Amino acid sequence: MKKFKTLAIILAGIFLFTSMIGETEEGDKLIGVWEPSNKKIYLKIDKISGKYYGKIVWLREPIDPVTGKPKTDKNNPDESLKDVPLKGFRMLKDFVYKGDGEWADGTIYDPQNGSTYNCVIKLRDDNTLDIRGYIGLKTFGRTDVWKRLVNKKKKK
Amino acid sequence: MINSFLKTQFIALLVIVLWGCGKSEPIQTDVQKLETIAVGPLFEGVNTATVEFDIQKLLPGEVKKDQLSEVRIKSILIGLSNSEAPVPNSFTVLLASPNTSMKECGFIKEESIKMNNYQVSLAEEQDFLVEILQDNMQTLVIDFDLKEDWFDDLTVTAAIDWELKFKK
Repeated sequence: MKKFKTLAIILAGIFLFTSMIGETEEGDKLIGVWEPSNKKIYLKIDKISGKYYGKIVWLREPIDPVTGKPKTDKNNPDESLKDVPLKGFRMLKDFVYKGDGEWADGTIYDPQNGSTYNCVIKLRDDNTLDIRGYIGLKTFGRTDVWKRLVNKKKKK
Repeated sequence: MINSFLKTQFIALLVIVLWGCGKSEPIQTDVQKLETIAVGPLFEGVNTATVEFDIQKLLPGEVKKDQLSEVRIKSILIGLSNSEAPVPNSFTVLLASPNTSMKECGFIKEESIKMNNYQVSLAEEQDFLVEILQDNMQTLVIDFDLKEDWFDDLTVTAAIDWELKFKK
């Protein structure tokens, strides 16, 4: 009986461990470089201390035509952060994988108006994301489709 | 019976109010020195170095981080140990913790870096720091925009001078 109990505990531990690894691997499908539908930027999503964050790594127009200098977060509500470079800016913050191809509890920042929205991310397929930004209820929001940047070079 | 209940409630409320109005006392701490390695190869563009820490280790033994009532960063100085590494265009410094949102603490502009000044321009808004420091652990995130590829590791240091106050 005692042996049976020990075996059951070991098996439960193995099951828990493998399911945790599976969950992590599923969640990590978000990691990569993505292009929003407006094609103005590329965002790299990485994982820091268990949560997912996305930073701008490329801008189609990196130079501000008014200043002639690299674009900054000029609409930031905090006056002291208006000079933060847009290249590298973390637009997506604090996403947690909830299972079933969905990441939630995060926010998305719109540098065009300096507003932050609640956001939920859904993996449509391995290379397509539905990004839904909303205030309050998910119903009152807008969904954008992002495409993964994949190496288009064909193997010879 | 009701009188006694109200009396107890009043005393409890008074204790809470008095505790809330209690004066915060400053904590003397050393400058916190953090070091991390951004593992190479590092490619041109935005790269990230992170380091986890527990602010409790910086506090005197009698102060628990739950008691922190006011927190400000006085200064952050960033350093790169590899002198041959390409000089980044800019740095952005952020703080995060498991149960709070990641926040920008400041940045270093290209103009400052050109003058060899790695002092971070700090965010005016720092109210979020108390909540982050009271969490289980903290993560310092340093994003840096490299001018060219660097095929080795890069050691990044941060010296943070905190202004901390606590309530007994």
